[in-house]
Amino acid sequence: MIRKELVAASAEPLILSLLARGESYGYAIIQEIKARSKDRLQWTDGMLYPVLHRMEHRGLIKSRWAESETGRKRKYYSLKKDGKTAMAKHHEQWSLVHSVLSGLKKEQHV
Amino acid sequence: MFDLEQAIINWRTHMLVAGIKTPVPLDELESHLRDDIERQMKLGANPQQAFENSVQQVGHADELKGEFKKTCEIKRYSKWFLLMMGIIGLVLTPILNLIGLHVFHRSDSVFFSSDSMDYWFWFYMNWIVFIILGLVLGLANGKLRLKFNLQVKQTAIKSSAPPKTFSTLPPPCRRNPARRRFVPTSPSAIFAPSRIFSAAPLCAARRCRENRPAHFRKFF
Repeated sequence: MIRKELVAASAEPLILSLLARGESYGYAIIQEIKARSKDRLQWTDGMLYPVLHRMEHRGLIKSRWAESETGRKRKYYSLKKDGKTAMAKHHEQWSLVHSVLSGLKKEQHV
Repeated sequence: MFDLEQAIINWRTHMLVAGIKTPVPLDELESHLRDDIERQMKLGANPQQAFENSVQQVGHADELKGEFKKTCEIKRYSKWFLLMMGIIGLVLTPILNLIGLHVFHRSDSVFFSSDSMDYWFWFYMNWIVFIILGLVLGLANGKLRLKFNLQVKQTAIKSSAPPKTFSTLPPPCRRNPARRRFVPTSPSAIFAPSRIFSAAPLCAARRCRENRPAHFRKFF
């Protein structure tokens, strides 16, 4: 199981990266993350929404209410320009952390 | 016999009483809950089982409330701070005007003109009355709204018998309801002096928009 702190820190870059592929809604975002992490990234479902609202408040994403295929209303989120910039920054920073960790791991094996 | 719709209404009431009082997050959480119930029922779960699992997965209202609160964390000045600012303003204005009169000899451009006392006196009095009225209306509006919100919540608590499905959830925290944040629910509250003089007008306006009941949202 991945630690809570890491799950929290990775929420924003993951959401931004998912929304970069197109508009989506809360439940679909969670299902996608679960499927991609093979259920190892455990989010409390309700906790996603405050994160989404904070990101919207900061101008990274925007939202709109629309009807789903079943006729029920859903709130769809999509990426804004600032969100794309933030996503690029996140990718850069996470790549840096990853490369440092990989380098250190390789040295241990040598 | 388990009634799914009634269970969802009870869950909404529980969330509302526990402090998630804004319609937007509640609507969104309900939509999520329904999606999850639907998925589980397609996989073969019975409605009650699916509902209980989904409620657990969505999380406790107290935790969610704390997280939603962080969304708008711009510091708001307290009523005492506003009152102090008003008093300082009231004291500083005549002092600055007296300085203007005696040091710079600008008797024509200040309140304390030696030419006509009637002019500056009533001008200054009007200004004091306006500030005091603003403060009183702001405080009264806040108190009335708080009372109204508490009445709505108490009615909600009385009208809904605790459903069995919530036996695993903690009871909503009602230790000190007076400390709950005032939430405007009418258009008049948007223009209340306490909001207008608030340090976070943008944030307050956004919260107002989200907190308006459905029948207000249609017209404003």
